[in-house]
Amino acid sequence: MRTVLALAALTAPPALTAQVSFHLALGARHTTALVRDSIVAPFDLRPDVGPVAALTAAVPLEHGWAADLTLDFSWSDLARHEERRSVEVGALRTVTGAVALRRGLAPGFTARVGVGGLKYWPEEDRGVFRDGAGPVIALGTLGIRYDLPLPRGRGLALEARYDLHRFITPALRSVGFTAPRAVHRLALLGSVRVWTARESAP
Amino acid sequence: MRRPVALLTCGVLAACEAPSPPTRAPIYSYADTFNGAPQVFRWTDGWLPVRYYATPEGTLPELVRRGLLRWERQFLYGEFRAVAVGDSLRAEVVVAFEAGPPPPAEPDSTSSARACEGVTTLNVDGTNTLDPPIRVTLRWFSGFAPPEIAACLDRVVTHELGHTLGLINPAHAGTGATDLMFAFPTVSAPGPRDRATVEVLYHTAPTVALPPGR
Repeated sequence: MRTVLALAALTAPPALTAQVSFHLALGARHTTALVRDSIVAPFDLRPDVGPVAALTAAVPLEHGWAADLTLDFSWSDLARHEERRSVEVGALRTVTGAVALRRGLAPGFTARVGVGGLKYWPEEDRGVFRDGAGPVIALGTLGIRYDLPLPRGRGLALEARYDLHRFITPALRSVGFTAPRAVHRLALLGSVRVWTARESAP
Repeated sequence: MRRPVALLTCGVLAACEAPSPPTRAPIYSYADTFNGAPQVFRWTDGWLPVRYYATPEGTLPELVRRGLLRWERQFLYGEFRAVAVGDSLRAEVVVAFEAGPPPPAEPDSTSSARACEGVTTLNVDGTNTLDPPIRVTLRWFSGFAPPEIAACLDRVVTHELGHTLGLINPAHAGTGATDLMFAFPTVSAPGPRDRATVEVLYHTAPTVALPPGR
């Protein structure tokens, strides 16, 4: 029942005043290995640290809570990391959509928890992506945000966003990988409020 | 409240399991031997994509394109890539018919007739360095029906391309009838043992050097 009420709170129209703020964030993302394998010697396949851009729409709720919807796009080189060397094997992009709830923790600090979906978008259908990237993958996300105490600030903030999903592709399944691998991603971003829409009810 | 927390913990623990690499098929011998020492040849990362030239005769460019695609699909981690080029002087591998293309025909996929053959030649100099290009020469035999020749060439071109990747054991030692690299191939695509062998080869240090620069 609590779950139903929470969803209703997220989807119901705001009571008196709707205020939606849009934030643009730019930063960098680290991703752990997508695949670990061993052929003669162990190695892994993982994206290099790469840029990330995110657009977030946030709506304040009651009792200090806020909800947001985030669309983020990141890209990086995918590399095979062996014991003594790394080899670039192509470019990889990801698109992530997530809905989250936020709440203030301390002055300036806000915590964020949410769920969403992630889609891998490889540059070429080769290697582990030779039979496609597979369906949208569910993810869970956590974050913390610090609003910079600047005069006449435009909502400048620093954010750390962590998310977790499980990775496997049709090609990996076809060669005998049976279980997906947990992939952790950590992004550090600077964000700015780019627009606020206000609408008052009569 | 305890139940959601327990479910979340289980979910996180399940997500943190590290899957084991799959068990792979046994491999066959991929090296040549010279003066008692194994000769391991493969393309190294600086030479990728390897450039292939097929003489524009009949279906040969398409057979080479298809064969390279079959081999590229064996690699999960970008160990080998190839590209077709239109200039033989820029190619590391040149593929040609010995005496022109066969009559055009759709391959008879039920046929395993030995209606053709191929030879792959790698020149290695006194310093054990490859002297490109590698040459693949194909012959077909007129005593067979054109669909049988077409099917044979489909198998043999991909087989010979396997040699150009570095599967150079001259006796095809350890291979069997289900392997593409069997001396008289009856399949047209690499099988599990071909994949396992070429994967091991491309994670093994070569002993045949490649010339500097490209």
